[in-house]
Amino acid sequence: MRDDDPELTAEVVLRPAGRPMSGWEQITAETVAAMRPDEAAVSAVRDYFQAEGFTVSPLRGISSTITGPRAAFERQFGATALTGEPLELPLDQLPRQVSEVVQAITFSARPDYGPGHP
Amino acid sequence: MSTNANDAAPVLPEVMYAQASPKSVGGVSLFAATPQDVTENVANFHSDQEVTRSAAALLREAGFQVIHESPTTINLAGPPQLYEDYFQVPLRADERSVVKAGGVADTATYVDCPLTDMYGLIPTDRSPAADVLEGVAIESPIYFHESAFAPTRQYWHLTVPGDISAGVNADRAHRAEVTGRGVRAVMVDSGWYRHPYFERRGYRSGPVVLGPATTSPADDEVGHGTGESANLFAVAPDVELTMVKVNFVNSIGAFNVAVALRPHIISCSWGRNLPVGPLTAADQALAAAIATAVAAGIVVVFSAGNGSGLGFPGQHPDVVSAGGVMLEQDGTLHASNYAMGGVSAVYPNRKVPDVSGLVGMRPKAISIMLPVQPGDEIDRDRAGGAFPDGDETTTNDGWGGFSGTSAAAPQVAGVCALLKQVRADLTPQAVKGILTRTAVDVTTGVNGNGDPAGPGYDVATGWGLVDAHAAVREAQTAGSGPAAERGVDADELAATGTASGQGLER
Repeated sequence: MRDDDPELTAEVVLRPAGRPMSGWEQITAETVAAMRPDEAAVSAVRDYFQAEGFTVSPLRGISSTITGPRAAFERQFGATALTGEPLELPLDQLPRQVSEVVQAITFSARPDYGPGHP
Repeated sequence: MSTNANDAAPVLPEVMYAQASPKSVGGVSLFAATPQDVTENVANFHSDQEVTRSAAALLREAGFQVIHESPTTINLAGPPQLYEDYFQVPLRADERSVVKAGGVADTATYVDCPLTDMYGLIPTDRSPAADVLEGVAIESPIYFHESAFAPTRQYWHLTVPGDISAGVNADRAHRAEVTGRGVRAVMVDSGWYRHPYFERRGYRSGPVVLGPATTSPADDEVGHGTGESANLFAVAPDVELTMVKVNFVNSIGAFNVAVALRPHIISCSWGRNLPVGPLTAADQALAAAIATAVAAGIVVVFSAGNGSGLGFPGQHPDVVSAGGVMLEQDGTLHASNYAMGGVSAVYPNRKVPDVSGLVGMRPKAISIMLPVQPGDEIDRDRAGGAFPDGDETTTNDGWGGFSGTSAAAPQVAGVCALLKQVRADLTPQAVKGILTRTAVDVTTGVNGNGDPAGPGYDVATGWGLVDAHAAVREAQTAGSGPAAERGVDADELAATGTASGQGLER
């Protein structure tokens, strides 16, 4: 993430219906449908972030992308949330109806191989 | 620099770029030395950091944009009038004949200061910076001259399309008119540059689609996506490619852009090392995106990873995981020690790779000469140096020697495109099954983790090197039912390092 990025984009990962998700969960073509969040949760997240000035993509899999100016992210997640190279953003400033259905709001990890490391 | 297309007198460009040289520590100006002096004694032409800092401050104060400071020069920009006023010199524009990209003859505007004998050199002795600067060199227009044809080098390497196509046995499929025609493939990578190599061969690629947080659709600043796409075209020359340009602050978003294009195949040559779990939330979101794509019938190919460890998403159960096999000049095959492979700690019974493509060896897997955008990251970083540490090309020739499992993924994706041409109804599972059953077993060498190849399945090369002709033949002759993926006996693999499969004969 660079300080001069005009806009930032992050992934809002939603919880499967009514429960938190572990890092050992097997999300495959056979199970992904069961991992879908509730429609109410999807709407709550979309409506909240749109009202806060973010562009919100449709749900893909278990996540949506939010895009907005850096200032909007700082306003939403705290002024220090973007210092360094954070992966996950803090959820504690989000309203409860949003934070309780969100697993994480996260940037992607840089690849260890691929572009830049062929 | 601007060019003048008409016969009017040349005019100075709106902005001029230049390299200002702070006083050299050796006492001789960079502009008074011979080229041989500079090459052999470059340290003498470095500048004291304090001198460079003072010079840059003076230039900024005068209104110049200081773009970069190096040990020898300061890169600056500004309008011509600023140069004339600050250095108290006249400047004049010359229109000169040049050859631009693609061999196009044209003219370009050069700028000179008539007060010096060296073309393009501005003296500094009349300026407020006379004590810290020894001269300012005006940048000349430079045009890349990338060729549609790969440079020849003496070390053993593969070229596209011929060696890659022959190496994975795709030539015979092509002669049967199985070329990927009518199949849409998307790559999610660093971008795609319309290199003369692609134009010359008439490959089909639509406009680059920008993923989240990306810009400049005509440029591939890294070169990775451009080069790897040549592997795809080598195997499936009539495939319709769309590149989704990725910014890795949101690779999930870029992958989802690819899914939304509803292609037959998605090929990704990237990932992170994840030898042990658990997955992060971002990993799970990407896993769900992959699973959603595969559930919708899209074949998703990921590179298994390079070095030691185990890659993600290359270990996701739904992807075709592409490992590496080295093809020697005498035609022998062995595992690439540059490629990852192993048993997933996250997904029970998942072993990768599934199959392999053609990949070079350590230290840098410089084994395929691929087209890139002239002067991009790969072109610069791989240039110079003797093989195997450098690719022995120049920094701006538009060609780079590289491979890794990044090359294997689009090669394997190319075979998938051939299969989808002959059997559009094949599911992702059926495609993987055909690839695994028809691969050429590779029985020698070790992968990046030191795991040995042997008869049958092994984590060094999976089921072996993909065989495009054999895969197509099986797809053409198989019934319409789902083709079972070739199984791996986990106990046998654990005990011996290899497994013979479950009674599926080739």
